[in-house]
Amino acid sequence: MKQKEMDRLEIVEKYIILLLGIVDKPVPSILHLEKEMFILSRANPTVAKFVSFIKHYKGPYSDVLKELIDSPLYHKDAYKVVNDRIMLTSKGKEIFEKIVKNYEKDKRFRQLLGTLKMIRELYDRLSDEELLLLIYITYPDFREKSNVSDKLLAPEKREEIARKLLKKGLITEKRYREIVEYDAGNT
Amino acid sequence: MMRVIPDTSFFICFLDDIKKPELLIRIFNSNKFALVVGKIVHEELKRSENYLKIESILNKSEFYDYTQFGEIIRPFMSLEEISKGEHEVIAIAYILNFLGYEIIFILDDNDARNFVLRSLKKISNRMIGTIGFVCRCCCHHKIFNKEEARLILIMIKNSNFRVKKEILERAIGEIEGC
Repeated sequence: MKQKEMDRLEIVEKYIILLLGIVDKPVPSILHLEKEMFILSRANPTVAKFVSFIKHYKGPYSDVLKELIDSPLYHKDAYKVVNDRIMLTSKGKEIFEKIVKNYEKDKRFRQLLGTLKMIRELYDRLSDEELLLLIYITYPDFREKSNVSDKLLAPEKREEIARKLLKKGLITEKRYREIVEYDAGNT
Repeated sequence: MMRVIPDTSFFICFLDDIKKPELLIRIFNSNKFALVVGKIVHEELKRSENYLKIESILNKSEFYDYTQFGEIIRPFMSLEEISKGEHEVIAIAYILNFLGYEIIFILDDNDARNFVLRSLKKISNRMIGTIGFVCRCCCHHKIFNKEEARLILIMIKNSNFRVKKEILERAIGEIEGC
């Protein structure tokens, strides 16, 4: 593997560690981790340079991310997956603290931490279905190649999920109406 | 200095509804607040025919344009809310609060306010509406005297700015009592 590619993988691995460490509880599923990283890449162009997402059967997908979740290259025991929930190990927590300490004076790094925290605070509360529905409606390009979008976007299912989201206070009333009235064929 | 992150409706209230852009200039030249304006809100303001009258204060404001913070909240809000930049205001407020800055953010849309109250409670006590902000400028920061603030609220009441009568009456009472 070329040095440049190695460097890229190391950076992506650090992003994973930061996402996992910014909140002291596991990310609910690998699907959440993938989609949270996707949102991060949409919000932060620097991150987007290192992780790119393709259309896949469950929305935006990154090979690199999947490989690093399955087998970290640089920090081998930094995180673990238990019942699909992904969390830092005690070694991973030390690595997280070390990264934060190294960059704590960098304003952009601190903004990145704030971004990660906001993502965890909002997206961890979503179920898999809620997460995918919001992604498909917000980024309709990623419905292509999906094998679940038709089911989730069916009017009754959409209404059911939107109602749950509204009840949780995670979407606004206007967004609820928009989802219910969404024309899945017109994107 | 306290950073203020207003939504579009706050600016439009002064620019187009009551047509008093000079009040915005007075607020943000008072050295009591540092203005923070996101990309979308700034773009929206350019559509106002009175935009040029406040361009000087907008040009002095802090921008956060290399990172599209609003993207994080975009899936949770409607296209209308997004076009007005409500999601951007909330996201910038969250990040600046996380960074430890003293902040206040101005949101008038009820839906967007409820979203903050229910989903991002940590920053909800930093949220204020345009009317509340006028009160604050009078009672806490003495940017307006009581009579000026009362007249501003009456102008708002008689304008296209959408606000409940009770909120305005409560605000007028608050100003008289402060």
